[in-house]
Amino acid sequence: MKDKEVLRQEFNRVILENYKMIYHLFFRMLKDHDEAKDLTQDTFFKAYKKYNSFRHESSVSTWLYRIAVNTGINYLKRKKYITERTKGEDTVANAGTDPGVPVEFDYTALTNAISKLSPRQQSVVILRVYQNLPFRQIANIVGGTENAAKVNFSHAIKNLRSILRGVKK
Amino acid sequence: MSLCRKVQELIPLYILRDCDNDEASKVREHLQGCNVCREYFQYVTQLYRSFEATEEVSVPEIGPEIVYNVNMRIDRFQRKRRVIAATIPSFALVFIALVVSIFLIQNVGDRASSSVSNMEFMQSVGLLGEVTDEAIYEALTNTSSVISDDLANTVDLKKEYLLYEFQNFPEIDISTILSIMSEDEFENFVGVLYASSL
Repeated sequence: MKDKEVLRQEFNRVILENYKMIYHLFFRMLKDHDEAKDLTQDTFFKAYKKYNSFRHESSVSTWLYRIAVNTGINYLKRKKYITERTKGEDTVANAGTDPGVPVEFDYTALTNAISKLSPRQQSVVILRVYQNLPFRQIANIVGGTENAAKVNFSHAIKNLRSILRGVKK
Repeated sequence: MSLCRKVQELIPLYILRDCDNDEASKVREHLQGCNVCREYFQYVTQLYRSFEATEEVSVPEIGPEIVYNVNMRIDRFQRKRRVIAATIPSFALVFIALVVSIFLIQNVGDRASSSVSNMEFMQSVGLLGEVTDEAIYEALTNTSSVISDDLANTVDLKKEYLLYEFQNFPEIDISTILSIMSEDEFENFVGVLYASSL
């Protein structure tokens, strides 16, 4: 077992090297600076508790992403639960029979639409589109096979279409 | 799965070049003859353009702040763990003491509820207060009528006591001794007494 001080210094370096990508992920998920910062801290705190047992079978960034995605998913579930309790069912506009395809989607519409996906699909979309990670790494982060991650992504893109039809410009 | 559905599943991957050559040529071929899938292709292309056009997230320079806050939380967590670790032995001791007390209380209660009262029992085996001649005599003469299963083992104790006291109480009536032991036992007893007096 490493000396506590050495471990702490090593971990502080890990924080400084990786906090931007974790913050970025959470900001894309939540669109809120304070929440993104809090969850980034949560992620590193959880990571520190497991750092001694981290076997380096995957890269540190993949390992951190995995913790971050789980933290984010749990947070979103809790938040959704609270929102539903206080505001009632979230009404997502249904595509119905409208065949129209929006020409372009603005930032707010897009981020709102992503936030309406299931937490897992949100994670896959954000990791692939915004973090530009390959599907193999995404599969490592969210769990499951590379193919499952691809299918998840395709379904998320399809679902986004239905959601965006309700908020098109 | 219909061909359109399969192709629409591949389109998002095709645009990102995340599918293999066979899948890519399947998508290309299908798109030439299917308006619905071509429309879907346009949608995904526009969606990706919008993704690219979304403003970049500028991550604030909060590295040192995060390091500080995380370290504070780690310190708090470790302090709490140390306190818990230090408290556990005390709790364990209290728990053990509690269990032992309950056990003792129950044991004394059981004895108290037997046919001989606690006081009589203690007196009869000489555990309570000064043992007087009367008390010993009383214990010996009462024994045959009050001995219960619970107190069967006290007979041995009484024999030993008697063996010790006999030398000081030669006046104890033989019938008293016989009331707590058979003739065979008595013979043995006398033998032991005799051997010990030699």
